[in-house]
Amino acid sequence: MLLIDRYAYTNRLKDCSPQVKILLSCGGIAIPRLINNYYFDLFTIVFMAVLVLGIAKIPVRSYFKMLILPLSFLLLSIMTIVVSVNGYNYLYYFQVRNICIGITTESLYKGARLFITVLSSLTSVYFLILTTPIMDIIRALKKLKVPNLLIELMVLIYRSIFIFIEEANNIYLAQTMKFGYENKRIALRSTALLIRNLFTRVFIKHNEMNISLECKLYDGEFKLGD
Amino acid sequence: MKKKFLMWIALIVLVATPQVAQAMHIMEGFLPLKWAIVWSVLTLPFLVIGLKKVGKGLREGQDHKMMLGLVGGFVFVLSALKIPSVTGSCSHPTGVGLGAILFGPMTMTVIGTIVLLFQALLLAHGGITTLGANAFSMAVVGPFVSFGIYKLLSKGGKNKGFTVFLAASLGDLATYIVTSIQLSLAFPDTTGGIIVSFTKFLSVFAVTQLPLAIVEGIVTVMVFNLIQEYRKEGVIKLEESI
Repeated sequence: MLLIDRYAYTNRLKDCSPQVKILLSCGGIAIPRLINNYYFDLFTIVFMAVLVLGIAKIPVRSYFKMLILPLSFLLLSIMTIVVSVNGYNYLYYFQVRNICIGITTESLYKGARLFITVLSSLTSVYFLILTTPIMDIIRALKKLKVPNLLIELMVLIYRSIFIFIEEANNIYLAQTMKFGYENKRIALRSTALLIRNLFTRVFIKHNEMNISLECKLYDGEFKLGD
Repeated sequence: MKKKFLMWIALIVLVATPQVAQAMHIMEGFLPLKWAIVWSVLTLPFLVIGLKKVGKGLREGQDHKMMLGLVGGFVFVLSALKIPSVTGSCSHPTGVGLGAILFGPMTMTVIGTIVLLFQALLLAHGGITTLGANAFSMAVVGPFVSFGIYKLLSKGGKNKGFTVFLAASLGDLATYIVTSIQLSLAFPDTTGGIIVSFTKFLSVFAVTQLPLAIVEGIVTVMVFNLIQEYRKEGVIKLEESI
């Protein structure tokens, strides 16, 4: 249902040690920032892309589709950084009364620099999330002595995400078949109904889970099985 | 030349706006290392206090763990839903306002942080290094503003629907303002400094996020009313659960 999650469990690197993968992607984020070198950033991007596409065998098309998703946020934010008010050495600019708005060489350089660095971090994180199942990441966090309560909550939330996605999909489908998303006003109303129904499902699931846990002699602690 | 330049800006804004509205989290690797650490350190005390509060409830025999797990899943799915927005595109509710009103701000800090982590890991929204910054804006400031406004106005006995609307949409706006502050602190304008870059980021986000905040407010009111209906009929018992 969630594309990234599916790839994380089916790629060719899934049995690799999660510690190695986490270290590699952390290195991919940290080292380019410490070295601060264009070529190293580019090297990281290519290296991570080769790992994901060549070795883990993630389909090329869906990889690039996923990369484009945050790219629009990146473009808009970098636009905001590149456009400078009342600067010197303008390449392009226009004037509104006596305020100059435009692009300077310095800000352009800054934006381009940021773009490459962000891309290197992005590919590193994509390497981690596309090749490592969430449960492996949670186990690694447990070894890092993250509080037990937080770990338990993470496992529970991870499980319930999929329960609710399935239910939301079913409700959405039923609503669509009854023309629940025909125009904007009805769509808003349908969305509110969907959320309300999901919310009541939270309580129903809670009751059911309590009963099933009591049958299993639950004493307030979940065993993760490792 | 000027006209062409303006047209390009308009085009990029038009193309990029719908997508930005989907993921208001600061993306992976966007913040310099220094600021990523600063915001993580600022978030940590809230997270620890929230965890302690949850843990205290557990020791006293009320088991909220399962409930919190389910609510976390609920908030995650909420943020993945599409709601029709005024600008013509689809946007995603944050669910922060609703959660804060129903479960309290401290609980939302714990849940929100975990949900943000899962959004980074499962949807590639936000990021792992920027988790601290995103958690500070969405899981600390947003819920506290929503909850504060809700408490403040419900005392006065004002219209309940309007109170919920204000709490949800202002909580949303507070999140975006904090995000703008975070971005402008990290990337001050080359000539004008922090103030100028803050105005720049804020004006960009105002275009995309103001309609979104209003829509989120409306949806939250609708959901809240429907839940109230259920509560009157005795289908769910809210006070007992959290």
